[in-house]
Amino acid sequence: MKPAPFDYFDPTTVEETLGLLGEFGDEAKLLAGGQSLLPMLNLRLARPSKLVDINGVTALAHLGTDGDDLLIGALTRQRTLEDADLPDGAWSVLPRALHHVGHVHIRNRGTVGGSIAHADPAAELPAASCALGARMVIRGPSGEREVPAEAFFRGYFTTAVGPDELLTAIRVPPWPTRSGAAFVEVARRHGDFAQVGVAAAVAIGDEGEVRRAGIAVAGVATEPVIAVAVVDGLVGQQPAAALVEQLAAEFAAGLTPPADLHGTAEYRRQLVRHLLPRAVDQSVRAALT
Amino acid sequence: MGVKMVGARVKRIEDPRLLRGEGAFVDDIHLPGVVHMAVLRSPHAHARVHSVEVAAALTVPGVLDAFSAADLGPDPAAIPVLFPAETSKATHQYPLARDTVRYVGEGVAVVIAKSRAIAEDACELVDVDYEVLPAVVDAVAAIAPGATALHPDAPDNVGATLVYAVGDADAAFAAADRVVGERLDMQRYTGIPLETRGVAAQRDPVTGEMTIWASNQWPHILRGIVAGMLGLAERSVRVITPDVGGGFGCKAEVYPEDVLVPFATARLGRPVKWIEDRNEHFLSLVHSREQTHFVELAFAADGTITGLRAKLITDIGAYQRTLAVINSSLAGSSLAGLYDIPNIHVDVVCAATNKSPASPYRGAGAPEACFARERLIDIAARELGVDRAELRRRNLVRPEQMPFDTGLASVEAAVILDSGDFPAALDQALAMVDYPAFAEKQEAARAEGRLIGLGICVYHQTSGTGPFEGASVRVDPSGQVTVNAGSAPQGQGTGTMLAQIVADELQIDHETVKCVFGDTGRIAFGIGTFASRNAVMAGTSVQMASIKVRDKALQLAGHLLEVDTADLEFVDGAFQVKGSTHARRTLTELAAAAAPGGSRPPGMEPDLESVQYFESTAAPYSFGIHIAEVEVDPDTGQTAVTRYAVVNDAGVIVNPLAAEGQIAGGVAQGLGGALMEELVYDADGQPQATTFLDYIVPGSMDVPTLEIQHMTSPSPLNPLGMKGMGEGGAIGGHTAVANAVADAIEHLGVRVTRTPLKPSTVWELIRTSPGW
Amino acid sequence: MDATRSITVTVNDTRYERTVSVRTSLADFLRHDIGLTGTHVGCEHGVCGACTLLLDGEPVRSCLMLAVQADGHELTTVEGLAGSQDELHPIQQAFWENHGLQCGFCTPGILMTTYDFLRREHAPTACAIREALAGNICRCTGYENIVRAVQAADQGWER
Repeated sequence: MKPAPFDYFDPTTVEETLGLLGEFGDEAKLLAGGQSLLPMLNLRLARPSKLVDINGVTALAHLGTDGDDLLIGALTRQRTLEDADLPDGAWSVLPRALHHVGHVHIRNRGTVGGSIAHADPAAELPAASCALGARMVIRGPSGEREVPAEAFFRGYFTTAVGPDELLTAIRVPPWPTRSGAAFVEVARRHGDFAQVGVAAAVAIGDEGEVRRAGIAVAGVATEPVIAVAVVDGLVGQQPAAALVEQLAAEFAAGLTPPADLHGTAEYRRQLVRHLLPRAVDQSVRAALT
Repeated sequence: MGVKMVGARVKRIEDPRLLRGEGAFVDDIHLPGVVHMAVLRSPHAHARVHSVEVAAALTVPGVLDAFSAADLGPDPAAIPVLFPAETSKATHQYPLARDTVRYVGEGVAVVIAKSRAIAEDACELVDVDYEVLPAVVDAVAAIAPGATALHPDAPDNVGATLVYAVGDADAAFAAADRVVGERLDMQRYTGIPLETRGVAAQRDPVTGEMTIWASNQWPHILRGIVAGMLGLAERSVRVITPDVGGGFGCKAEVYPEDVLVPFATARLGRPVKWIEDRNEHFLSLVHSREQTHFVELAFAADGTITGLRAKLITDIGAYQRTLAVINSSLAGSSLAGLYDIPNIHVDVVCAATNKSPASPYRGAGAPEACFARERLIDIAARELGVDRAELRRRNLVRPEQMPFDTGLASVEAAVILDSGDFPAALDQALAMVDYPAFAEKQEAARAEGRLIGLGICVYHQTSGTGPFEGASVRVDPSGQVTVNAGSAPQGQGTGTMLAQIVADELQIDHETVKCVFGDTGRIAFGIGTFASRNAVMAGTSVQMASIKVRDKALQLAGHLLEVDTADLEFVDGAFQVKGSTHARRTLTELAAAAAPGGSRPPGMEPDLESVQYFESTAAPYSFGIHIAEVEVDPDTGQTAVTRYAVVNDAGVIVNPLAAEGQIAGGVAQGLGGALMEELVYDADGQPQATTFLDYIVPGSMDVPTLEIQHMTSPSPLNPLGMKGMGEGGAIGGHTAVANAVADAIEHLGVRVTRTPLKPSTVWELIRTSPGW
Repeated sequence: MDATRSITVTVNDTRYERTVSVRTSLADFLRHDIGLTGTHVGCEHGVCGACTLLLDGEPVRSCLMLAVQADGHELTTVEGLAGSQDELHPIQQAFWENHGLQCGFCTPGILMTTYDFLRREHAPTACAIREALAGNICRCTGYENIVRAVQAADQGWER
């Protein structure tokens, strides 16, 4: 399984990268961590004639706060984000999700931006970013723009990033102080892609009611599905188990998940019914401690 | 030298170099000037091949050659079937597809280039004119009237049929008090070793001999067949099996690439290497296990089994190659297991389908037979209202009936259970898990909404497959002991095992014995390492050779010391006059004295060496009881194996550490079969599981730690009393775990009749059950 | 024709300058250009772990990196574990004593994963060990002796 031939470029700046993308358009593929792209190259499922390796664009490898936001450079290694000393509120959905991403070997190379731009329907970080209400920072020939996560994932391995554009960072807005998060998943084996994964972030108000919530599910559609109806049903309410289970069941019933050799569509709905309440429950507990 | 080595738990001589990364697997072998082969494989499950044009491929820079079946000669040889049944039809595979392709992955053309990457580039330019035909993907449908015919010689898609009968099954069923029957299906899966296959070949510039390195389990057989197919004299072909990264029976085959690589080497005049990639591996490694069982048991009122009837349909895939009917034969002839069933009738049909060809994988028919029988016994126990352990105990062959001749024989050997106390083994295993307490534990768990289950599997396996194996033992004039054997191990620790046997016979340090395997150039005849035959066949051969060497040394010592051999004793690796430490000759001295030109008794040939072949077709049967405990999550269908106990009887075990390693590895593979592994095909014959993302093998978090106890009933069939046992884990693991899952959920009114029991499958069973 | 690049890589403290095809994987480069065949290729899609080595001290899948991406970096492979030809690293010794390998094909990848894990963790539970090894497939051993070997290595390796 050897890749089809390609020309190799390793720019060191964003400008250089955009120049190459502008020149090559659809012929080019960006290589960041390579943990998703290299298997596809090896299997010849992807056959770009130009490979643009951006691991040298060090300006994209930053992780820190920007005002009240968490700003994650696209080239931040998944391991770096996993081990970062993030406050334990909503933002913790990111390291919690990363715990399920492959194994340390994968996370040492895989990048946050790479996983998000690749947009595998069963991947964890896209769902986590949707739950947080993150905003994707995209740079192109006409400048920089931000796209909210809920509009960023457009379908099967498809995002808002155009062929001549680059995802440069992920901006995560602040959440209220009493917030917590969880990521729960069922996979065939630990580290495998999620059959279903649920990312949840919850902020609890003074009366114990849900003040704000973000819930997104991986593995049930061609992109992460934000559980809008569940969120709407929870905000302002006490997060009682019966309520959450009912909302989860209604939400699951409305899904048309794929069937494959790993499981039936109804099984995936069942995993949503099973996992979503757990994700919410764990988030609430985290928020209250 | 007082410690007996046979039976000792010593660490392996093989390990240091493997730990250092100094193993030499076939892709590690550097051949200067080597070029690389890629195979263009059919994307269709069934199609006529009207033409294959390689011209465009030859234009790619770096490509040296490209060819198809037309270039193999006007009448190329097909891969032979080694154990044909009388009813076997000619559904052979040729090294490259001729006018028809019959499975996705079948080789259609070959490209040789300076790198594998370039060869793959060029394969894409080979132009093949396919006419796609309907695919047959279900074995039961394949042999039904109206199915598309896959082979001119087998228009009904029946590749072979076998019948195993003893007593009068129909009469027993007519007179039965109760009959319990079911259709039970085992899925298609296989060994998937971590090292894929690979073949490299080079012509020796001095001798003109073609040397072939292949990741395989039987170099002598491979040499004989490949030489024959290429029209070469056997003496001009040498096959070397290097380090092999797992075989599990799947590398005991003659594959098309085994022929294509030496063919390309001869054609090009350059060394050629082909390393199978993982994607190809899922398509072209032998598949196994897929079998449908229509099976029924006849019971007397007291729960005694009076008859067994079955129709087995084996999905053998597109072609019959070397070991084509073995799985079917071993399954059919041993379906009764260790139970005393006087009336048996088993019909086996080998059905052709458009899937990769099937052949033995660890267990070779026994996992299938076990699943059908042990699952049905559990089902029967539930229907008869008898405890499942008690039902087994009532029907096991008793020790006073041993040796027990079942009256049946597979294509390999008669099924005569040679040694063992089966009821005692069952009781020992049940005691290990405190079986009587489980029912209450299960009730308490159910009250909490938890689903736990316990599964029993009583299995046996044939071992020591004949007809022979060979080993030479030589003490060279410097005193170094070297063993050459026909074995071709893939991680079993054969080198250490044989060294332990030699050490006992020659009273030397086992770590000084050098074993060299898998080389047709070093021993004239050999069979190989598969079918749990290594300990029995190579072990006995090496013991025979060691004894001959010792006897020769004794004669020589008597000659040199000028005493009667009756006055000599063998102490600390030297012969000495009894009671005297002065008149003494070490093996080293005797080996030096045995060199030509020295003083030997009249008629004695030089050299302190012996080559011995243990010839035997009687198969010892090892057996065991496996008990698994599981917990099934009713919300996700996931199964955790919480406990696993084994009672294993392999007679005399040379290295218990290695034997337990075989059990543990086998159980992991069996567990994989019960819960996760499957080679899925869609309705068009397109394989769906062609990477590790879709073919799920157990990882470190999926397999429990085993509790193992040994029973030892020495086999009377070889001097050391050994019984091969490497396959038992895979046989017992699949059914013990499947039976445990069934025990966890069948109270809900469902029945487990097929594997794998993936989470989704289990959940669907639970949620559609009447009792949930 | 294959595009090529010149790269400089340090492997087990030895510097190598080579010209490689840009599409050659790091695993293939080490095995065939440098001749260090201890790192094995089991799947080329990043699942089996046989190709695991250390890149700048961190475990990675060498089948999922291009050789050109290792330019200027430091690699440690299984051949770099033991101090010399006459000794074994304590981890290797522990695997030897506990029958932690059978065919040996997965072993280099498991050793490198274990090396990284035990550097970070002390006295790990069997459960933690199994989780750490979940990214390395073994088909021969059923894992339990590997777990014992890692436990023994934890005891025997002074770090």
